Amino acid sequence: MSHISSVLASLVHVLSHAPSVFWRLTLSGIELGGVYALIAIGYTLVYGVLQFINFAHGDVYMVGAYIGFFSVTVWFASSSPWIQGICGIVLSIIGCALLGLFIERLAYRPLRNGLSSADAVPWSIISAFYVDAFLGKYLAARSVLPAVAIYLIVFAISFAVMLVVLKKLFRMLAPRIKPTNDRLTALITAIGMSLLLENQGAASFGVSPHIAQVKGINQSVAPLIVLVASVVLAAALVFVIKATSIGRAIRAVSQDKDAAALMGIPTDKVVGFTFLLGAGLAGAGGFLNHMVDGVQFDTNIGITLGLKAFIAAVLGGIGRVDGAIVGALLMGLAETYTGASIFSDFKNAVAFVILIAVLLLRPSGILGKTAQEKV
Amino acid sequence: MLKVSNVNVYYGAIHALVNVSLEVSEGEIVTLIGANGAGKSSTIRSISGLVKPASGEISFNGNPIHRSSAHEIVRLGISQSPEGRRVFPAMTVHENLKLGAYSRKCSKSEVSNDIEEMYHTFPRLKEREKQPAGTLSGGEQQMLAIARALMSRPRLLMLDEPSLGLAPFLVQTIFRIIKDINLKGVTILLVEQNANQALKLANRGYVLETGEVILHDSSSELLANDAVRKAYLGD
Amino acid sequence: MAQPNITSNPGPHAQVRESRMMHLARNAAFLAVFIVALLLLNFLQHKLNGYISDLILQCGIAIIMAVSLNIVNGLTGQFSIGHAGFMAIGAYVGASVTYLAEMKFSHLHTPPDWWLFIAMCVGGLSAAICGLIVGIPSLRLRGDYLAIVTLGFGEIVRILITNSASISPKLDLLGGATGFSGYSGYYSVPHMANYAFVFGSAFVVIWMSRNLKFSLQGLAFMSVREDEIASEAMGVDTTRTKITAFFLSSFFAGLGGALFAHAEPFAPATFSFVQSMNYVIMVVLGGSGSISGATIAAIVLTLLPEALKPIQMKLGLADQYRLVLYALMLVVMMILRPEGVFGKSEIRFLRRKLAGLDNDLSPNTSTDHSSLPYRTVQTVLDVSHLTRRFGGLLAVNDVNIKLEDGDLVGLIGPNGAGKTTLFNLLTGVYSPTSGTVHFNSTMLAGVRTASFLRRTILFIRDAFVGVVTGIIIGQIIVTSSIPITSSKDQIQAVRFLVDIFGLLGGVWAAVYSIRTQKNLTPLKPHSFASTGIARTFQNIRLFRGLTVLENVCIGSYLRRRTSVIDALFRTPRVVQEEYEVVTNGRRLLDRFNLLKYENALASNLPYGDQRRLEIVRALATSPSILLLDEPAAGMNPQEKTELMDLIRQIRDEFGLTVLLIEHDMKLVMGVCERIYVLDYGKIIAEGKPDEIKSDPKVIAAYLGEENAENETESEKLDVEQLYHPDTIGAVTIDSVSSGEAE
Repeated sequence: MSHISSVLASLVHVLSHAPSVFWRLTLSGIELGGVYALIAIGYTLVYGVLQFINFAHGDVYMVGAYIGFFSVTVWFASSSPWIQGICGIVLSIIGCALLGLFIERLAYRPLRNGLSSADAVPWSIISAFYVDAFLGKYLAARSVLPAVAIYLIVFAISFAVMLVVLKKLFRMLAPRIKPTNDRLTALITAIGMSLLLENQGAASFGVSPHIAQVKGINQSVAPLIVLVASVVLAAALVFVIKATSIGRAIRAVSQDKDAAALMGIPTDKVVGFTFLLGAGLAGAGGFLNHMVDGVQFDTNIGITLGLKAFIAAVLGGIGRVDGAIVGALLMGLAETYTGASIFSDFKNAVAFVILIAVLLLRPSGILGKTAQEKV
Repeated sequence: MLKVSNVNVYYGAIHALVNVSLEVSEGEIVTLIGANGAGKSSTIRSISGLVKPASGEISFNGNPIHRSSAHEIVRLGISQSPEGRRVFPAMTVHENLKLGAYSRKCSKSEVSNDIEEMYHTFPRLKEREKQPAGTLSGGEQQMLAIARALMSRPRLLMLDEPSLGLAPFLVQTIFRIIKDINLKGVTILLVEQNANQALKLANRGYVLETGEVILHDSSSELLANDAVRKAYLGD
Repeated sequence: MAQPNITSNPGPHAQVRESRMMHLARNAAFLAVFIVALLLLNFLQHKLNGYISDLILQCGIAIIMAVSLNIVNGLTGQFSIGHAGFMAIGAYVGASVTYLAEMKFSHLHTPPDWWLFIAMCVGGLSAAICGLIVGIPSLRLRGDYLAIVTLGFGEIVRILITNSASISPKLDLLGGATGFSGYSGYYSVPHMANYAFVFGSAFVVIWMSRNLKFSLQGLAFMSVREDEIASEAMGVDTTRTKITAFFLSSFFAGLGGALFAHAEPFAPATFSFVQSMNYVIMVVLGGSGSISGATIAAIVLTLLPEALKPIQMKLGLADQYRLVLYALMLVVMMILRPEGVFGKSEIRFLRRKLAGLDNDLSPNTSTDHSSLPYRTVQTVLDVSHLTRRFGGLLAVNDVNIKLEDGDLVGLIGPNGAGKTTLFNLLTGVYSPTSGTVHFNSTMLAGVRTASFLRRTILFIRDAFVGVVTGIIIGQIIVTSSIPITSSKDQIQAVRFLVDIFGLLGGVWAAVYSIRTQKNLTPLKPHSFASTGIARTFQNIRLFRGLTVLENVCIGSYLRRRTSVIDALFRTPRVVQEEYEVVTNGRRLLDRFNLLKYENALASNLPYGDQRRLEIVRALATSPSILLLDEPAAGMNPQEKTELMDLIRQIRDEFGLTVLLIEHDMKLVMGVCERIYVLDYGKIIAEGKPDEIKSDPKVIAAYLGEENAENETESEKLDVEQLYHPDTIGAVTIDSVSSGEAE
């Protein structure tokens, strides 16, 4: 008797203490979910319009973290926390958005539409970048002029030369190259871009982990800032998608590409804009998670976090923005609870376990709809 | 107004259009008839820019358009209501109509005025304004597809099988609508399998067979033509 | 139509018997050469320096991995991106086998070489079993979703191995994040995998893949890749085929993993997602489906980063630039040659002609149907009250149809009336909302209730899964939210809470089980096909990437006598069967004047011939009933007349029952003996062609005569609501500025 009563007594004791811990975990779970959501939206948007997995997206997030890092520790190191925070996040968003667009133009568009002479522009940019990385560096070290000027001159000259050469070359090659819709080919291209970004990142920033934080942020307010900022950004994105003309165009393209073209929607531009939006959000996520919350990162973060965010998007039903948000929150919570429980060793596996469980019960994700192929 | 000359289209090894030539003048209703797979839709799709012809020329009001992309062609004033309606199923009727006006550079109020006009013309669409287009019935979706195509204020409206899957009385309604649209000054290129009705409505007709134009004449002549009657009119 | 010129070639059996002797002799000689070659290789290994020798070993293992992945991703067209997970299982199980052998049998000495063979087999089998566990539930997922599950599996394996010690102390030997280290923590796996083992295995894997690719079974695999729906319609159980492919692929991956464990140092991180991606890249870059492509890509991509090393060192660049260059090359490659270097083809050395391909079908006028599909059994297809609803739309509404032996029946109706949906119901592509389809009194479609035993088993399974899931979720929530404490009572309290979660989970799952497991899952199209219903499709669904002959040969898959195992070893039975199948297929092609195209890709045929090929392919399954969906679409009048003759001949010669959807009135009226008219999903008329022609309802619905007088009041009202005639075009009138036309 006394045994049972003592068990009951401790149960009451435990339950009365549990809520505070529980709510704290829930809050940080939602916060993590918010970061996942910012990345997952990019995956889901691109999947919506192109039906393919943009594996390079996680690496765009990684670049966002590094842009944030340099903003906070170099470019705005002596500014006030507000300037650091706002300029940092804005630069991360802009930088990543442009990077996302660039990736689309460089790799995915020629794959989708076949090579055309217009594709010479992004390829000239990347060629000029590498000429700069080698020749520019060599010259800058031996010149009296300021390094920036050397870099700019080398870049401009090599860009111009490459543009002329590549335009000719691409025009020659174009008739022999057929566009492809093959998913595997698109996936491999995306992996190629991912490898490129990751290794270029490692070459430029080094492989050792980095850590930094916006000045004056302490651990009690950081989660709140991240939470609020990600809610605001996600809401803004939802607004753009639901209520603006370009958002309608994005939805139209993802529902029926041909019909969208018949409405006069320039589908390629809309695809580009979709990349811009998704990549911008990932950049914001990178800044928030690493510069505000102060999570340590290196160039591999793109793959590890990107993979989880992607899984969150699949979990919710890929192609749907609301699905990405729901999936991301679910994952954030599950990971946080597991991390604090006796299964903490398997924190990183929980995402995959949930994913497999959900897909077996609902093959198109939580909010996804099954589409039957027309016969 | 529209001139298609010697257009060839291939899908892989399949030669879908063989030297197709046709002409549509301002104000006309012209119909393309033929069996499934004869190349009617391919013709319309190559005019819209969804399919790029391997050879041949298409011009609209004297401007070559066969190299332009689909969204540029819409801006020139050619609009298409595609086969199978192809409304955006997850978007509301209202949004579908708004998208119809995407190519226009005009004020928001102008667009919403036009949408109101469409609602006036198709009162059923007004009732379903906030409903996702995927939940509409076939006839309602067809109305929406036509209304959406009209939202770009086209000078040439191409309709691909507007009667597909509709009840006979609805088919007649749709055909009456088409006639009315034409009377208000829009040129119409109509693709139909329902040859009888299409020819009764149109001024002229082209008969397609395995990707070739085998016959073209005024509608009355085609209706009287023995071969046409046998093949397409069920006699 | 030409006179049928079908022959039975004299003495194919004698030929085959002779070739069987040759086969044995050749195999024996080959085996001898093979063994000598392996011994030579081993000798060579000792002559090379460590670095080079190691690289070559890595190439061999990469070949095994890429070629095995090619079975799933290339041959079967699935999308697995967790191959390294299976490799990891093979590696760890293989290493454990050697470790235990060393501990138990060889008294702390490196065990003899043949233990590696056992390790490979056990490793391969464990990986294959995991393949089944992952594959069976997830292969019903399509495309990208399957990819994600395999990816998830790979990651789970890696994480589980990393944290193996916290699962069970017995698993301590796996060594966690540092790699396999035995219970002592100092063990390292002996490097037993020499050239003979690695290249012998690589050779066997390539040989078996090749045997599979060029076999009837392999054709079934490839048909799944080309078009799953058509593949089902040809009687291929696509789910089973995919699972088989997955099983084989993971077996070989496990085998490769076991070899890897005995060749290189490894840790869980070795088998990361990136590693899986490397293998996918090899398959795609080489050309999905090409064994030569996978092999060569495996070698090149293993050596390339090493080859770039001296350049990078000379230029004094960071190590990553090698991979940057590699990534750029990959992207450029994909843009310039999306189908991979080899496409689907093979180098000459690996190509194989189908047996019987060169056999001369000597033009003999004697008609012999013995080898052609020909049925004499009584056939009755009974469709009753069949209904299918899509959302609010009744696509097929209470349809009753009866087809009997030798009927030639037409099904007409306006576009969108539900004809194709009806076909899909009759072939199992869709399952009915209500109503049944009986074929010779066997129920094919309709609600089938599960037996009590089955339901009990499923109930227990679901309840068990529910309890376990509940307990795990309970553990997570409870232990994460409760302050760490050592008090015994508190721990008991926690257990109590967890039990409640478990109970709740169990109850939920049990209820779910009772609610959902009442009815059996509907039969799939391949079951319909195997009972004798064959079909063609409205939008031609040939296996576009296969040749004309291969398309037809898949029809024989239903009557196959050989298994996948036979195919892997290419037993004489396989050769014999292939000979028959090919000869049969060529006769059929010859019969329909398509033999001239036999080696052309199906997608390269003219449109009309593609339609006819689809009919021939359907005939190759030896059906009792043939369903033709708009066979005349896209044909010219000449071809249509030929088609009419063809359909009649098919019925007469092959004794088939034919049901035909067609728009071309002339064709339907000319060829069919009985016609059903479908409108709005309902049969509105049935009868002889003449009756149908004059039926006013049919004329109204289908032939498109003016029928305004038939409109009822309510319909009129409906029209008024839909459309307001005065205002049409009001929007557009002012936009047409020229207005010169009228």
